[in-house]
Amino acid sequence: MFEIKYRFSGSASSDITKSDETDLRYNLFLGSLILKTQNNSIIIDWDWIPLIDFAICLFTICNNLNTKMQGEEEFEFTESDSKIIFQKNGDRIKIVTSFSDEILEMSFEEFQEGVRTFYKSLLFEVVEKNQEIKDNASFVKYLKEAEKL
Amino acid sequence: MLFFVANVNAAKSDFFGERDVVAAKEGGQLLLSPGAANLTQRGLEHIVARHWFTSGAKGAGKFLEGTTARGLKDMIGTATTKGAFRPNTFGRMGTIAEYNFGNVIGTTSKGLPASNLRVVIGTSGNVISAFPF
Repeated sequence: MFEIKYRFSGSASSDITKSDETDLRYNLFLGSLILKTQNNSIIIDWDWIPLIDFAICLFTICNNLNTKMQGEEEFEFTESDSKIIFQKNGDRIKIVTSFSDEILEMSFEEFQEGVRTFYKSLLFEVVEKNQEIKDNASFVKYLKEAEKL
Repeated sequence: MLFFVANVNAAKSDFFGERDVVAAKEGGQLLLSPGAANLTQRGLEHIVARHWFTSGAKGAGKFLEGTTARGLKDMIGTATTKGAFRPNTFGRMGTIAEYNFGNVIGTTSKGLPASNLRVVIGTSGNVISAFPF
């Protein structure tokens, strides 16, 4: 089991239809996260994490690792030197960070499922709460990806 | 690799004013060469909200107490003229410039003394964010 829980730290600004890619990935839909397996969790309760950016990065990391038997991908936060490192070894994956002693381990299949569920849930919730974002071209391309999953 | 010259002088509030910059376009990322970053009012407000010594943002690098807007602009100027450049990651637009000042400029995300500055520069040449690490 791998689950990514998220919490928005505030509501979006009113100009989300005109927001560009940089706004989406740095300034909008900020919040906090918990990466969770059955036994451990990594809590990232910073309130400023751009959640759409996090979902896009994680989705990309998952796709990159899916093509390799072994490999490592490093996630950089937008506003911090902190890192999350994803280490794939065969059909297992390990998640370590520069800011927590907790280490998460799971099958790659569980990781993939958790990332896809998070990506879809987040984007669909953003749309549900902000219908006008359907007019934002930058967002729509990511929404289409989510609808394919 | 395609090199071209871009004029980054559109914003009246730009600190660096008019200047031609050499840019390289590589794999969809605009890699700006030294001297390309403009600190706009919006960029400044973003940095103050997350990285000023008065900011309560958790898990983020902070500038030293007493850092002024002018001091910040000078540091960004140094980092974007003398720093090491690399493309932004995972499809994020723009470029990252990093520079070690050799003295403490703030604190890392863990609250330890930091002497490096990371500047995130958008494809327009405007500073998106900047923080010590």
